[in-house]
Amino acid sequence: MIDIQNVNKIYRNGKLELQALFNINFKVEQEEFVSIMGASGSGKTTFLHILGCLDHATSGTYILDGVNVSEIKDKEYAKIRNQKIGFVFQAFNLLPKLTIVENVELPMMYGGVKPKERRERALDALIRVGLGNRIKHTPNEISGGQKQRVAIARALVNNPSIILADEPTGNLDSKSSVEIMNIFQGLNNEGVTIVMVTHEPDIAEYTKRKVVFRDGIIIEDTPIMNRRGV
Amino acid sequence: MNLGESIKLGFKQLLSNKGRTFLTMLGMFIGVGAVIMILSLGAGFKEYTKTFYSDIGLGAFQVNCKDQSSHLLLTADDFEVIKAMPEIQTVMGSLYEKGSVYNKKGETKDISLFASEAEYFTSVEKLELLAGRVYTEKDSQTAAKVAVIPDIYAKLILRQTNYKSAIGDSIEVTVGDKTEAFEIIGVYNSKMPKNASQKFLERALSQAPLYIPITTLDIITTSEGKVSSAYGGIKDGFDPKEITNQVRLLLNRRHSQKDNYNVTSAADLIETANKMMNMITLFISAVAGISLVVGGVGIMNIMLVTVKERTREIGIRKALGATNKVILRQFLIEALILTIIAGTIGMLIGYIGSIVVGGMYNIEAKLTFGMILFSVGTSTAIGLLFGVYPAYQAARLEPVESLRDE
Ligand SMILES: Nc1ncnc2c1ncn2[C@@H]1O[C@H](COP(=O)(O)OP(=O)(O)O)[C@@H](O)[C@H]1O
Ligand SMILES: [Mg+2]
Repeated sequence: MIDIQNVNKIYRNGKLELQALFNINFKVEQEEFVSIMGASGSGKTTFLHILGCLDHATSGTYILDGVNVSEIKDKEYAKIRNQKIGFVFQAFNLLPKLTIVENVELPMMYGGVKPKERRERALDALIRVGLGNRIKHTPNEISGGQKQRVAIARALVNNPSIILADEPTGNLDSKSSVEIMNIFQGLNNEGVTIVMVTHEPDIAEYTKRKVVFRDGIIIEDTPIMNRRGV
Repeated sequence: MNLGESIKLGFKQLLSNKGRTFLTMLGMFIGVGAVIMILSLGAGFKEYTKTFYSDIGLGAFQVNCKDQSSHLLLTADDFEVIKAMPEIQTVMGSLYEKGSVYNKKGETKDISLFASEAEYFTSVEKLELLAGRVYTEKDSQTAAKVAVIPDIYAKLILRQTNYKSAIGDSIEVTVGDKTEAFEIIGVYNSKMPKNASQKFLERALSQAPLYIPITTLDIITTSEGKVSSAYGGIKDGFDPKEITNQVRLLLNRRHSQKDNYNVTSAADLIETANKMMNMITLFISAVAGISLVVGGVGIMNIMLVTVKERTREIGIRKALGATNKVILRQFLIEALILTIIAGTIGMLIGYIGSIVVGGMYNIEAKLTFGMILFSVGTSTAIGLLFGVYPAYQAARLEPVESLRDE
């Protein structure tokens, strides 16, 4: 489903060059639940942004659902982000002026879904993450754990091929972190493919497969033996 | 995201920062307001001049002597010759005289007399009578000592607001060292502004004339039938400019003068007035144009600030699938909502201003379809012109970069 071949990423700031990824090869199959680990600065976020079509690789090939997206134009890129990718960020990235249900509706707005269907599907997604009530609140009126659940509902709502999460528990206490991981596990059991960045080993143990980055290369790729929470 | 949703979002965004939105609009209020005000007054003014002369027609003309020495004044012979011209409908002499009267307290008050033929009322100026009548051909022939007075004369001198009961009263008018009694046969509306002050009316009194038959004037002055001014009409279908010029040449020749007689037609007066109005309009429009450009730059500035402030939001929207086009449209729509609303409010302000100012000068302010079109058109143009650059800045933001923005 995801097939990354020889991907390099070089950041250029004027004359300064910094290579963040070196010749990465990486595959993800349907219904996998992958955690990406590694020290700060090892290239995890850079990699996830490329996976999420938020950024282009400097070289290499990226095939998503059989489509070579490494050569695609910006407009198509936006469409892929909208239809195939669900993003969950460490900082939640909800729009503060919109209500919770409106936040969840956003991807469908850009996907051209009619208002009535939008509302129905947003409510469904919120129920899936256990937030069927507080829908008319704004993000400032709910806790961090609840914000992240809204973000997951928003990532889910367009039925993407894959959910990409960048340190989704990084801003949460341990109780909320476990709740979020339980939700991810539940979704994965329902068939949702997830790739998640984390630097906390115990959080990684909720996933099925662990990939470790160091200085822009993958140094380890192993299945998780004693999964937590199942 | 369809257009309706973009517009809704735009309104929401602008309403979430009302103070800033209002200040951003100020420049446009002034710019559009000033243009609409002057255009609206101008249209009312043109209408006013048109109706002012419509009673008498564009072919009406007026003759004035510059040097009013006795031998240069207009005589009955002059009128015969002018009347003989085939293009001339009619011509008649008239004369202004300064005089004075006593009021009830015995104080003297300056007034003016206007002596004319009876025909003057049918072919030059239609008086709006509030009571009584104007003098007739017969009054003229018999040199009847009758007068048609302005309403303010009745009010200020006679202390009489029931104009009917003023009819038949006798008034004593002094011109030079002669004093004669006149019978009031009519009261006309001098069309003073509704809420004019007492002072204003006192001054106006000396300028709103008492009308008397031209033959009667000889009794009180030494004019011997000679007059300093005349009114006439040109037959339909002839060019007023051309004919008035002929009359001017004729009079100067008859009196062996180079340039002692001014002949002005209503058409000339309207043309001069309109020319002046157009110049004022042009000047104010130029000032307003500058104000619009300044306002536009202000809008661009604020939109750039908005894009900066909302960088993270733009990143989030892009991450969720917003295309560059949708983002561009969003910011452009915000700029357009801003300018179009500002333009519309500016237009209303200008129109209200012109009603207020017009009211003071008896001019009816006009708001035409063209002016509405102008306001909306200009606002749209400014919104597009100054909104496109900030919108482009927003659209081309890289999602990854903007998500990093704190
Ligand atoms: N926009 C950028 N410009 C330049 N260098 C960057 C940029 N983003 C990330 N980097 C660098 O790339 C490397 C990998 O960063 P990142 O992917 O954020 O690591 P991680 O998420 O693992 O902490 C780091 O050295 C970082 O400084
Ligand atoms: Mg990171």
